[in-house]
Formats: sequence, structure tokens, C-alpha cells
Amino acid sequence: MGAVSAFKKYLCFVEMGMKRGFERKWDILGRVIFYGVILVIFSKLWTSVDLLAVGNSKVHTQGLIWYLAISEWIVLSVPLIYIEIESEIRRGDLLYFEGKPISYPTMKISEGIGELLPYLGILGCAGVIFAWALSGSLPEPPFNLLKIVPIGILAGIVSLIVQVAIGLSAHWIQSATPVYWLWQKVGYVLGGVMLPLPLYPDALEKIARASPFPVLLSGAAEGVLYGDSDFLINTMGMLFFWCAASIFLVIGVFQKCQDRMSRDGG
Amino acid sequence: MRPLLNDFLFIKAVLFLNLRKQVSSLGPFLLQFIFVIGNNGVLFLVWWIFFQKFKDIRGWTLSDISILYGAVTGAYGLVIIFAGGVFHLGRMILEGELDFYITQPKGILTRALCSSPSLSGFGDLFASFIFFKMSGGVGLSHLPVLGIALLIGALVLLCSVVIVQSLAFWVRSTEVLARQFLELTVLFSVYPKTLFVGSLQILLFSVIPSGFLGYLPADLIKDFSWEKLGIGIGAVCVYGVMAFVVFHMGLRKYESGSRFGMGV
Repeated sequence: MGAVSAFKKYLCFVEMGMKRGFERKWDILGRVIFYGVILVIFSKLWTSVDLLAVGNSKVHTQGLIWYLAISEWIVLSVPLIYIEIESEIRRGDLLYFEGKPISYPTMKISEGIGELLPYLGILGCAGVIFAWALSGSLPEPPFNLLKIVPIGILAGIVSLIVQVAIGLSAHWIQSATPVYWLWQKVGYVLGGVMLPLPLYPDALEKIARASPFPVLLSGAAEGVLYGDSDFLINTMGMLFFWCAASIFLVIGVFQKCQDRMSRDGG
Repeated sequence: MRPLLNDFLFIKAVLFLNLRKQVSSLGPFLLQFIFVIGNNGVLFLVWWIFFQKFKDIRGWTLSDISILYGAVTGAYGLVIIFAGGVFHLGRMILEGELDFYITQPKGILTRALCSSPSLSGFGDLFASFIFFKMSGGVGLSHLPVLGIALLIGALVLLCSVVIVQSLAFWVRSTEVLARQFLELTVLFSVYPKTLFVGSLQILLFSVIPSGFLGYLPADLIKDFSWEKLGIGIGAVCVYGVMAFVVFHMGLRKYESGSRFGMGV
């Protein structure tokens, strides 16, 4: 019974986040434009280089456009919840949540999930239109496009959980923005957002594969690019693992925050 | 000449005071400095990986990209250090924060722009010089041209952001528009210009000033010519006049926020 009521409680935050997400029409439009521009730039880039040099028949212009469309779909759909957490910490608002019957990190993640869903839906539709228009075809087999939906949702949730930990870091370093930048940019490189990991030098590819970024950002895209039939199960399995790891991270960081607050105040 | 010198000294004093305020917490400053350099370096790493597989992009090599990155990060760093307030101008207009500057004898725009410099810009500047060094094509003899090129990029970026942020005088919220504008301008400026032809290239030298932020300064550094310098100075003048006119036209519509507060 307790678990059900807790679930309903946080479901309200998901609904609130969803309403907020749909209200941000200009932000969504801005992201759609940015998404389109990125795809146009990269479609021009891929048509300007000699892809035969890669020596892989599966790496072709159309495939690479779909690859980028899918990886950027996940990157651009995740709302930046760390900013709000950071400012709440700066204002000392976190202390007020201590007396309430809710968990602050879970509340933030729930709100974030609510915002994530409309972004995933709208950017997903835009991405399919852009990538189809720029590449002139659907990926093979087209059914793989449906498989990426659960991956996108779970990858977005894991990114949100990590953002909570990043936002909470403002407790110690005042501004969490540089930490987020580093997470984001390292993610771009190790996640293979712009270039598929098999195009990387071997050593760097090994380092990247050991990190959570490929599965978070390009697991779905690689599955579609290479037409892999098992990618859904493999990627989801890895995502559940990283989801658990990131939850432990947030629990640890939030515990430290609470200790600091009870010692030094908000 | 005298008022100009006075303004310059005033700006210097305000910036110095604001920067000293930030340096007082050395830990966060150093952390920001390191993160900004890391941030720039990581993005460049993607290009390095790219050029391990491909020889060139329509004639552009890693060295060219390195100079382009140096020009863009340097110009961006200069704007953040000397006119960091430009990124908050829309919010200042909306929330009536200009009240504080209206009552002062110095220029409102100048004061607003100098209001929140960020030391993270030094990280960008440092990264910029690393990129120039890595390109292998920029030496000490390029220093004067480098300064001019970065200044052109910084001034065009500053003026174009002032124009977009000043739209807050007419439109309720420009926060998203301003952010997207900045992102698009920077995004286009770090890709080889040879990718963009025809109407897209015209767009990048007008509405989205990526051409003046990255391509022209990089061209000046690589292959200086008086003609290119003239175009750069002309662009600064055009964007400068537009920024001044738009801001002051909007200022007539400004409504006081009746705010009380202190600041430097």
C-alpha cells in the first residue's frame, strides 16, 4: 500500500513535469531547429568526405545521417534539470524539503521524466522527418526504429538521474555548470554521438566502451546503423545496469548533502 | 577624446572590481578555468578522431580547424570577460534591472554589458592560444593579426547578441531565442566554411554572424590581407551601429522595474 501511494505521489510530479514540458513551446521549437541544423551540417560533412576510406560497407552517408539523428534525439530530449537543482541549493531551498514527506532527488527525477516524454515524442517525429528527407531513405530494417523508443526513454531517465548528482554537486563547488559541461562533452566524445565508435582509434574505442556513454547516447543508433537484431535486449540490459549505478551515486551524494546541511545549515 | 578616455578608465575600474570579487573565491575560479579548457579540448578531440580517418574536408585539414577553433574560443572568451553582462541583458530588461544604470552618468549599455564579467573567459582565451599553437601555422609574428582577428570576432558576436537580447524590449521573453541564436552562431562557426555554399553562406555572414566570428578571423590569421581586414572592420561597424540603434530604440519603451538594490 505504501509503495502504491508513493508511486501515485511521484506520478503527480511526472504529470506536472509533462505539463511544464508542453508549455515550453519556444524551447521545443528552438531544439527542433537546432536538431535540423546539426543534421544538415553533418549530412554535408558526410557527403564531403571519402567514406570508402573507412573500409566498412555498412558505414555510408544515409546510415550515418540516421545514426546522428538517433544519437542527437537522445541528447537533445533530456531537460536540463541540474540548473534548477543548482539554483535551489544556492537559495538554500533544499532545507525546506527536509521536512516534507517526499524525497527531493526522486521528486526532481519524476518532474524530469515528465518533461522528457514530450521532448522525446516531438523531437522523435522531427528527427524521422529530417533524417528521411536528408538521407532519402529509411534505415534497414525500418522496424528497428520502433525498438529505439524504450531505449530512448531509459537512456533519458539515466541521464536525468546523473544530472541530479551533478546539480547536487553545487553544494560544494557553487556552480555545477562546469561539471555538467564536462559530463556533456566527455559524453559527446566517448558516447560516439557524432562519429560511430568503430571509426575511433582502437585504444580510444576500448576506453569509450568501458564508460556508460556509448550505451546511453549511441547504443540505439549503432543498432540501427549496423542493422543488429539483438541490440534492443543488449542495450536495455546495459541501461538497467547503469541506471542502478546512477541511483546509488545519487543516494550517496544526497546523503553527503544532508550531512552537510545538518552540520552547516542550508 | 577626453570622454572616450574617461569611459575607458571607468570600464576598466568596473571590470577590475567585478573580477576581483570573483577571484576572491579562488577554488571555484580555478575549477571553472580547468573545466572550460577541458570542455574546449574535448570537442576538438572529435575533430582529431575525424581526421585520423579522413584526410580533409573539401581542402580543410586539422590545422585549419585548429585555427578556426582558436579564433572562435578566443573571441567568445573576450566577450565573456569584458562584456559578460550581454548574456543577461534580456533578463535585465524584463526584470527592470536597468533602473540601476539609468540613474548613473555613464552609458547604460556599457554599464549593463560590464555588469557581470566571467572569469571562465580566461579559460577560453587560454584554450584559444593552445589551439593556435597546435595548428602549427601560427607563431609570435602573427600576434598583432591574432589580436585584431579575435577583436573583430568578439565585437561582432557582442553586437549581434545585444541586438537579439534587446528584443526583450518588445517581446516578453527572449531567453530561449537568445540562447538558440548563440548556440547556432557558435555551432556554424566551428565547421569548415567550404561545407556551406550559396544562400547558406550569405546567411552565415548576415543573420547568423558565424562567418565574422570564425571564418573571417581564421582567414585573416592564415592569410592576412587588407581587404579582409577592411571587411572585418566594416562588419564591426555595421553590427555596432545596429546594436546601438536597436538598444536605444528599445530603451524608449523601457518601463521601470522600481527595483531597489546595490551593485558595482
